[in-house]
Amino acid sequence: MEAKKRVVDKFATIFPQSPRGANEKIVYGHIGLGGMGSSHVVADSCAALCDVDANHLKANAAKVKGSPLLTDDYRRVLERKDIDAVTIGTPDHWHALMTVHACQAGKDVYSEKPTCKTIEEGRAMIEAARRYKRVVQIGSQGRSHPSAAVACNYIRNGQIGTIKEVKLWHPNNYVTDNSFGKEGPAPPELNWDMWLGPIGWRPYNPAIVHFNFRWLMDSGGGFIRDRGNHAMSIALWLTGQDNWDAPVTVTASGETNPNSVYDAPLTMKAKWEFSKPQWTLIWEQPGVVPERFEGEWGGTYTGDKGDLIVAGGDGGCATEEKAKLYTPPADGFKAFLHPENADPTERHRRNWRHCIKTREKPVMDVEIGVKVIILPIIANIAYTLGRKLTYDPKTWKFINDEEANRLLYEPYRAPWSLKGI
Amino acid sequence: MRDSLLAAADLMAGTDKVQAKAAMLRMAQTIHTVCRPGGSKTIRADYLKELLDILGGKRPRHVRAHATRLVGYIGSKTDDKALARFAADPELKADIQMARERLRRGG
Repeated sequence: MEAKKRVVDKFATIFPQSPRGANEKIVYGHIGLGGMGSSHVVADSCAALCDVDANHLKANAAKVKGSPLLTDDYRRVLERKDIDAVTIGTPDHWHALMTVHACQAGKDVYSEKPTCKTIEEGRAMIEAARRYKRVVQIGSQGRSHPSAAVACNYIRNGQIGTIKEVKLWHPNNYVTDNSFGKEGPAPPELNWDMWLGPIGWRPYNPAIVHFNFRWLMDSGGGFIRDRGNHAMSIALWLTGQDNWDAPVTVTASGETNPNSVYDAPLTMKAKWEFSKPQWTLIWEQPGVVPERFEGEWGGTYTGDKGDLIVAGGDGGCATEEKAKLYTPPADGFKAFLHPENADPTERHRRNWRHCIKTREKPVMDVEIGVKVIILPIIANIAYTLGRKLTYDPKTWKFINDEEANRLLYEPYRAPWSLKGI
Repeated sequence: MRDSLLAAADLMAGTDKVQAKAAMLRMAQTIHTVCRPGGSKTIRADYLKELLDILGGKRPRHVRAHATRLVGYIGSKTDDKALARFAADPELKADIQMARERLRRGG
């Protein structure tokens, strides 16, 4: 435990952050190598690979050139002075802590969505990024999707009028099997204590590792926080509400599967009523897919003059023909898209790499990422408490609900801590 | 008549996993309901006493850990002493540390 603390304390250094040459090579460390994490690996400029599952390490080590450091402890990656930037593709409960520590260690960060698990974590991420002058991009790559951009142009130039309602539809959590799993010792390739990290201790259970961590409130929060991060990122972008700053009320209800280990609700309905300007955001899980323009998930944007459907909003996104055919006026709003043409996920990463060199804010800067993730976080709290809540973004707190405010924060299991930034 | 957390804790400790999960969720729901703004302080104190009995009792670790977490939701700084008595409990050490932290930052 002492060794761990010593390493964390070493991060209180501000590293140089002057702009870099366009051709200067960025050296990466990659933390979390399953699923999306693996897709971020830069094969010819990787100095370290980190995962708590040795099988993930082995599979990714075979893809990269040279002999990168292989470790199950991200702090070994952050200690390396030759590493400029890290990608974080771990389960959700690690995103904030690793981002904060990476900023403290002078690394720029690309962290997967959801941005964070609690609102306090989000505040710490913003503070760390700003204090240590780091470029922190959140992996909501819908912000780099051309179809989302044309939908954004269509709506933000008034083609559907003043926004009244955005209804997001989504299937249930991807677990319908009735399984409690079987608790027992973790397999030898998995460092279970590091997998848990800051969350409360529980025995290893194969039913929650790896993909299915999403369906536990402690490590995932269900689809509303997972895919919801994508859907709500698009909703705030298209409505021009990235900087929403007036109180919002939230209600949420749902049902868990009584026959499984997962405690996040399998079904979920949530409603946010924004006050300035007045508009309503709705999450329906399961929702009704519109007949006019289908997609597994997406949103229907309704204004006082019309509507627009946008399906998807991560690496996959599609919208209606009328938005695709629309040309914004010369002096109208034009959504920013990173100019290097690539598939949306790669374009999103390239935007981050570009910003590492220029020190500009990336398209999904951590501050926007936090504005987005606040919405599913407060919905999950409203669901947990079973009552309507009003959240004030100016104070970062619920109004007149002391217990709800206790849930804006989740204590970390020692020795993990956000303190010290 | 109010729900008994002790009875729910017994179900949670049982071998029927469906019942155990339902009991776990019911305990949390009960606690959250009683903590609504304007809720009865007396009932809250009664539930707190039950939770402390559960965490200090002989039920399995996961039941005691759940009760510990719930104390963090409804307890106050004055309950820290009660939790501190279990700080060295090898089964609950981390849970107690986390609940105490929440209490210290809570009411």
